[in-house]
Amino acid sequence: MRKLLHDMELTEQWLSGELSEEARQQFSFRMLTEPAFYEKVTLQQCSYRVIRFMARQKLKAALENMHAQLMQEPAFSKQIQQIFS
Amino acid sequence: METQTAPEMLQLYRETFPAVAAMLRDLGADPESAKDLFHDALIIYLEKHHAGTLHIDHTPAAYLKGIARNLWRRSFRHQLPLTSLDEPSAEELYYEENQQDQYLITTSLLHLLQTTGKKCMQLLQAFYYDQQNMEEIATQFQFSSSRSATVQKFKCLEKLRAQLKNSVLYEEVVA
Repeated sequence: MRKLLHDMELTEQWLSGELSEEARQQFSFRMLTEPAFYEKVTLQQCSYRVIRFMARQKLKAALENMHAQLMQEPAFSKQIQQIFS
Repeated sequence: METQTAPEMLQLYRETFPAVAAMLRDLGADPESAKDLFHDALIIYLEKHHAGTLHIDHTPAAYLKGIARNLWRRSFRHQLPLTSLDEPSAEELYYEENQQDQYLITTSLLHLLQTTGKKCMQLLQAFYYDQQNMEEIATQFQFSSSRSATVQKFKCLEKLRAQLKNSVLYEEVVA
C-alpha cells in the first residue's frame, strides 16, 4: 500500500510539473518501460477528469435552481422575456 | 481559496445574465440555449476565479459575454478538429471535455458514484476542484490530522481509479 500511495503522489507531482528534472526523467523512463505503471498514470488523469465533471454537474444543478429562483422575481422574469420576445 | 457565497452568486447571476442573454439572442440563441451557455460560461468564470487567472481589468459581465460568445462559436465547430497551433483556450478545453464526458451521464457515472462512495467523492472534490487545503479538509471531514486526510484522499483516488479501469471514458482515452 505504501508504494501504491507513493506512486500516486509521484504521479500527482508529475502531472502538476512539480518534479525535479532528474525525477521527471526517472518517471518518464518508468512510463516507457512499465506498462502497468503507464496504465495507472493514465487512469489517474482520467480520475481527475471525472472529479471535475462531477463537480461541474453539481454546480450546473445549483445554477438551474438559481435560474428558477430568479425567474420567480417579476422584474427579472419580465426583463428576460422582453429580450426573447 | 476564495469562494463566492450563494448570495454573491445570485447577485452575479441577476446582474450579468440579461446582458449575456441579449448578446446570445443577437447571435441566434433561444432562451434555453442562452441559459445553458450562460451556465457553462459561469462555470469557466468561477474556475478561473478560483485559479486566480482572471484579468481584473474586465468586469464580470464583459468576461461572461466573451466566454459565452466563444462557447457559442465553438458549438458550431464541434465536428472540426482543433487545428490551431496556439494553446487551446479555457473555453476550448471545457467544450471538448464536456462533449466527451457526456458519456459518463449515461454509462458508468452512477456505478462509479455508488462504488466510490459519496464521502470519498466529496473529499476528492474538496481538494481537486474546490482547491481546499488539507488542513481545512481534515477539519471538515473530521480526520485527526492533515496527513490522515492526505492518505484517505489517495485511497479514495485509488478506488476511483480502479473503478475507471473498465469505463467508456478510459477506453476512449487510451484508444
